[in-house]
Parts: sequence; structure tokens; C-alpha cells
Amino acid sequence: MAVVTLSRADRALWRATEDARRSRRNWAVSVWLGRLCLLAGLLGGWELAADRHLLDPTFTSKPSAIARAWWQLATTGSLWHHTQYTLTEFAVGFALGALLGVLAACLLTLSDLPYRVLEPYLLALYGIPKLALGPLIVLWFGVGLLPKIVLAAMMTFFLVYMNTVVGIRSTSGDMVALLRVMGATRRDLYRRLILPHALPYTLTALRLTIPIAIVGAVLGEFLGATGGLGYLIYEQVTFLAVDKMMAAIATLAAIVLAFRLLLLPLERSVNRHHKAIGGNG
Amino acid sequence: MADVSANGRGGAPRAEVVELVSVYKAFVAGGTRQAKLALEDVSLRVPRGEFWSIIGPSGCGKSTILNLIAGLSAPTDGTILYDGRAVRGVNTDVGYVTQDDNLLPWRTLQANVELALELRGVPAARRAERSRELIARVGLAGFERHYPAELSGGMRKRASIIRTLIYEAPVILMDEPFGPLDAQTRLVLQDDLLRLWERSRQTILFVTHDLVEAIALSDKVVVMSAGPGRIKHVYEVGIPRPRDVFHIHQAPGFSLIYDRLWADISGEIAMSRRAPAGEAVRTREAEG
Amino acid sequence: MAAIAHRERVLERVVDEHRRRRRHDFWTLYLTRVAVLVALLLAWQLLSGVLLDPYFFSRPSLIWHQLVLLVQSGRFTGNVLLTVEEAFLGYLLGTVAATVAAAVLGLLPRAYAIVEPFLLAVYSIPSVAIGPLLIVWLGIGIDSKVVLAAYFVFFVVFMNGVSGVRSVPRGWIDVARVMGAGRGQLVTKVVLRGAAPHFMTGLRTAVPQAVIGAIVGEFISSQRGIGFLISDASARYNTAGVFAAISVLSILVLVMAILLSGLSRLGARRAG
Repeated sequence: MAVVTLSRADRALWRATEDARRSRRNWAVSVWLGRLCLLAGLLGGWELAADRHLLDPTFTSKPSAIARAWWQLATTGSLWHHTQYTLTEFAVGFALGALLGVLAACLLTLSDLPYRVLEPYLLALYGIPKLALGPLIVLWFGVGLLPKIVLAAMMTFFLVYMNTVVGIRSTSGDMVALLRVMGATRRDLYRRLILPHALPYTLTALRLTIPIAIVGAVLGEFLGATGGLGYLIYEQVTFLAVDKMMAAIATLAAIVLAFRLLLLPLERSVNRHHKAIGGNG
Repeated sequence: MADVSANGRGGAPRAEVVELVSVYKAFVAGGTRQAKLALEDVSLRVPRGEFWSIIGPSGCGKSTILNLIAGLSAPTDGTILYDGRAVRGVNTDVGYVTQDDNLLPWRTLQANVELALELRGVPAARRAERSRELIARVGLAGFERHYPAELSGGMRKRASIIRTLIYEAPVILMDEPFGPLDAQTRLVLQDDLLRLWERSRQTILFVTHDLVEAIALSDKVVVMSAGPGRIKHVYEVGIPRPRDVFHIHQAPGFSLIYDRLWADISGEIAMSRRAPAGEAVRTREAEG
Repeated sequence: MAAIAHRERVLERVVDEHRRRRRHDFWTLYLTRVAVLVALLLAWQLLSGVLLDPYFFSRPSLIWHQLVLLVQSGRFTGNVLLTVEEAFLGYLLGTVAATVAAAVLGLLPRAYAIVEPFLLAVYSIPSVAIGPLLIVWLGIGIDSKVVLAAYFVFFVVFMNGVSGVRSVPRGWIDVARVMGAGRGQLVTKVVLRGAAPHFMTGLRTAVPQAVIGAIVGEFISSQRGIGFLISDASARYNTAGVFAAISVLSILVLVMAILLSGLSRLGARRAG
């Protein structure tokens, strides 16, 4: 039978790993405890304050009322009805804006001249707050789904365009030279170097732009609509139905969160390969 | 060891695969808007199959010479000849190894090595065959599916060398390739490089600031002057091959060539410290 | 000597080429930009009614006319100043709140970790969505616009501030501690200085955000302000009026941007 003896080196290693593990665990536990306490405190405090009339419940509502309102909206199918509107506006607008943004970035960086001529104009267009164009879009496209899609697309376009351009232009000149010496044509350069290099930039823009695109859609609904979560919020103002409004707001937040979480694994796997290589490994 | 002075004559033209004839390279420095001369009246004749090093102080235009041969920039005056013909546009007959390994981070090791063959339309099976052979030869077998971020500096450097060798370019340009590596890794890679070279005997132009490295690796060493860059001398190393890079200082003739190179170049380093690179104040330097 | 003459010739050639290229660039670049602009404006004006439906596109002359009307009727200054006031107050409110929050949470990593998912949730709320809520709580007066603007501003400044604080290299803090810096000194001399660039970026980006917040607030409900001018013109199908109001807004944003960059350059020079 073999007797296993741990050398002092082994024991030191084991102790170090155990210490690290323990302190990580302590940290995680304290953080999660803190989060639970904060959540309970906020919700509980709110509910109590409303009940004790420290806060006027018709004004600020309370968690239980909001939950009830949400449940009601959900079970009567009203929530899904409105969510569909907003989701469609967002999805179509986002996809459109993203595609156009990438296309524009590729086209404008193909040769230097068009880029440098048009760039100040694009910057100027970017300087105009796009949300401020809402009423103009409504004037042009009416109150159907289209103006919301256009707004969402507009908001998406600029960020995706700018980030992709940065990504394309940040390609290392050395690498371009290297590939050219290896015999790469322009198409090769784009396909094998420039576009893969720019991809993480584009994905970051996509992730950052999700809430912005939804803002575009929601604003469009404020300015004139027949359905959608934004429309729902807006029409509840006259009834002072704060609980329904908050329920709709919470749903919107959930949608945004869901989309961002969806994009996260994609972004992570792309970033893993693009991690900067620095130093002597 | 003989020293062959600049503008070395001799040998039929075809024996020289790369020629620089009275090359001048000037450029306008961005901020100052002044014209600077990077290379002045540079002439070189590099015979086929030889390993040449170029050494000189910083800013003497060593890298510029490589860029001119690769066709990445054009001379302001004079001609660059590759295989007897003037270089026009990018020269895809050469290989280029830079200081940063510049591997594509989203491709595996094998995909990186195969890149040049992909660009040339070589079918996948044949590519894999060639790349695996080279990967094994530099001891990276088993790491084919790894990404550059997962490899050490030395491994990435080996990868960037074999991806240049894979398309069998007759001339390889190397710009301080082992610069960012630590001393031990550098020795190992120098040894690897020599063994790879012994098999295929391409023409190699190797830029470095490390005298020992230049002596260990090359047949001839070109010493350049401080900016504007001119060829001072081309020395023949004269140490017999095969060489042991790990004990090169014990090789016969090492001290002599080292002393001569150091004497020549230390003057240049002092010059380049006094005047900023590119300024044209020059006096004739005494020989030896 | 021939060698020196040759060298001079080469240098001259390069300088010549350089100069020629710059001149060529100037003409092709700047002139093309101006030409594009003029061509666009002309085409817009001339094609209106012919190819471009004036309902959708209006034309430069009409838009100019609307602008003149605005100024002459005296509605210009009042509305512009109101929006500026809303934006300014919102900016102050938002930046103060965000700075405090960023400083506290940036310096206390455990607190930040606890609060992080909550922040993520709140950040996921589309900022305009709380507009109507603010109307219910604060009425249709200036307050709701100020708070909405502050909300827009808060996140930008906060995110940048926190990332700035957390980006201070560990090495700086360690070196300072070894040198004997106390808690307060660490904060003021190391952390705040290190976080400053990020923070400044946040402050700069937040300015247009404040204006947007005010405008959106006015869209939702208002009787005054630039936002009101835009949405009112839209409601009356006055395309030229909409364009005119939007251009007023754009000029306002541009002026602010210029002022800001001038200020920041002054600050940079002062800071050395």
C-alpha cells in the first residue's frame, strides 16, 4: 500500500488555493446577502410606506398594486397585444438600422475620398438629436408601425455605423502590409482581416444600441399610435393609473434585459478570440 | 575575413536576387513639414541563398530598406531590382516577418500558418499537409487548434516565422523578429531559424540591433551609418557552418569580427546620439 | 560635391510632391464638401413641387420664412430660453447626483457589486418611458422636464464616473499607500485625478443628453419650448415649421458643443 505524503510545497499550494477559494466565497455570499437585503428593503419599505400613508399610494403606487396590475394586463391578453407592437417595431427597426450601419461603414471606408468628403455631414447629422426628429417622422409616416420602425432604425444606424468605422479604421497597418506581401487582394483583405477585426466593435455597438432603439420605438408611440407599451403608458396618464404605467415600464425593462442577455454570449465568444495579445505570453 | 566595401562588385547579375542601386528615400515628417532623408545613396547586391544581417543605430533606415524591397513603398530616387526586374507595387515574391507577430487573433494556429496558401488558392488538403509539417518542425505539434492568445510569445513568434516560410518565397525579410522576446527564447528561436534555413537556403535579409545575433546567424553583416542611412561596410562573418548559436562566442573568429563590428558601429551610435536622426551633417569616417 | 547636390535635389523633390498633394487634397476635399452642400440645397429648392413633394420635404426658402416669422413674432427667444433653462437645471441636478453616486460606488467595490444588478435593471428602462410618469408626479410644468433631463444626464455621467474610478491603475494606489497616503489623500490626489478624463468625457456627452431630455419632455406635454415648437408645427402639418424648429435646435446644440470644446481646451491648458 502506498502512503501518500504531502511535501511542504504541496501543502503551501493547497493552503493558498483554499484561502483564495474561501475569500471568493465570502465575497460572493456577502454581495448576494446585500442584494437580497436591498431588494427586500426597497420593496418592503415602499409597500409599508404606502400602507402607512407616508407615501400617497394613488401617486406612487405600491409593489403589490403594480404586481396586480401587471397580472391583470397579462391575463387579459392586453399585455401581449401591446408588447407585440413594440417588439415588432424594435426588431425590424434594429435589424434595418444595424444592416444599413454596417453597409454604410464598409462603403464609406472603401476609398478615402468619399469618406473625408461626407464625414463632416454625417457628424452633423449625428449632432442633431434624433429623438427630436420624432414629430417629423410622424409627419412623414403617419401613426402606423412605420414611423416607429424608422425611429428605431435611425437610432441604431448611427452608433453601429460609427463603431464599425472605428473598427475598420483601427485595423493595424502592419497587418495590412503583411497580408499584401502575402498576396492578398482587396477582397481578401476585407474578408480575412478588416471585417473580422471590426466585428467586436460592431457587436458592442449592437449591444449598446438596444435600449436606444427601444427608446426610439417608445417615443414614436408617445407621438401617436394605436398600440404598444409606450402607447399604453401614455394613455394611462389621463387615468393617473400609476400602477399600470409601472407595470408597462417593468415589462419594457424586461424586454431590453432579455435582448442584452441574448447578445452577451455572442459577444463573449467573439471577444475571447480578440483578446489583446500583449507582452511575452 | 575580408571586408567587402560598399558597392561590392562581382558575380553575374542573376546570382544576385535583390539589388539596391543608389537608392534614396526621403519623406516629409508630418508635424515639422521638413523633408528628412531616411536613406542616402544605398547600394546593395545580395546573392541568392545567403543570410545577410543589417545592423545600425536606431533611425538609420534599416526597416525602410526592407519596406522598399517588399514594394510597400517606393524609392525617391534610384532603383530596387528583384531578380533583375524593377520592383513595382507590392512584391508578393518575398516573405516578411515583423517585430510584432501580427497573427490574426480569431484564427487558430493552423489557420494562421495556412493563410498565405489560402490566399493563393491552394486546396485545403494540401494546405493542411504543408502546415502540419512546418508546425511539427518547430515543435508546435499538438497546438494546431489553439488560438494565438493561448500561446506563449516564443510560440507565436515561431508561428509567424513558419507562416512566412510556408509559401516558399525565395527571399525572406525579417525586421527585428526576435526583439520582444526574452534572451533564452531568443537563442532557441535563432537556432530554430538556422535549422529551418539550412534545409531550404532561401535568401534572408535580417534586420537587428544585436551584434551577437547578427554574427551568429549570417554570412554577411551590413553596417549602416546613423541617419541619413548609408551603407558603411559589408563584412563577411567567416565562421564555418553549421553554427552553434548557444556557444557562438567560442566559435573561431568570433572575437575578431565582433570587435571590428563594434568599433564600426559604436562610432555610429555616438554620432546618432549627437545629431537627431535624419540630419545631414556627415564627415568621412576613418576605416577600421 | 555632387553627392550633396544630389541629396538636395532628392529632398526638394519630396517636399514638392508633398506640397502638391496637399494642394490637391485641399481643392478636392473642401471644395467638394462645399459643392455637395450647395448642390443639395439647390436641388432641394428647385425640385420642390417638381420631384419632391413639398408636404414631405418643404424647401429652403419656406423654412427660412418660418424662421423669420418665429423671430418676428417674438416667440423665438422665450421658447429657446425655456428649453435651455430646463436643460441647464436638469444637467446640474443629474451631474451632482451622478457624481456623488459614482464616487461612493466607485470607491466601495462591495457596495457597487451589490447595487450592480439593480443599476442594470434601471438602465434597461427606456429613458423616455418614465416621461409620462413624471407628468403624473410633477405636473406639466417645468419640473417634469428638468427631472427627465436629469435622468438622461445621470446615467451618462454615472457610467463614465464609475468606469473612471475603477480604471485607476492599482499600481498608482499601491505606490501612494507605500508613500504613506491616508484615505482622504488617496481619494483626492490619486483616484479623482485618475478618474478625471473619463469623468470629463461623461460631463461632455451629458450636455446634449440634457437638451434631448428637455425636448422629449416637451413632446410629451408642453405649451412652450423648442420641443413644443417642433411638435406643434407637426400637429399643424407645417413641414417648414418643423424643419425650422429642428434647425433652431441643431444650432443650439452646435453652439453648446463649441462652447464646451472651448471650455475644455481652456481647462486643459490650465491643468497643463
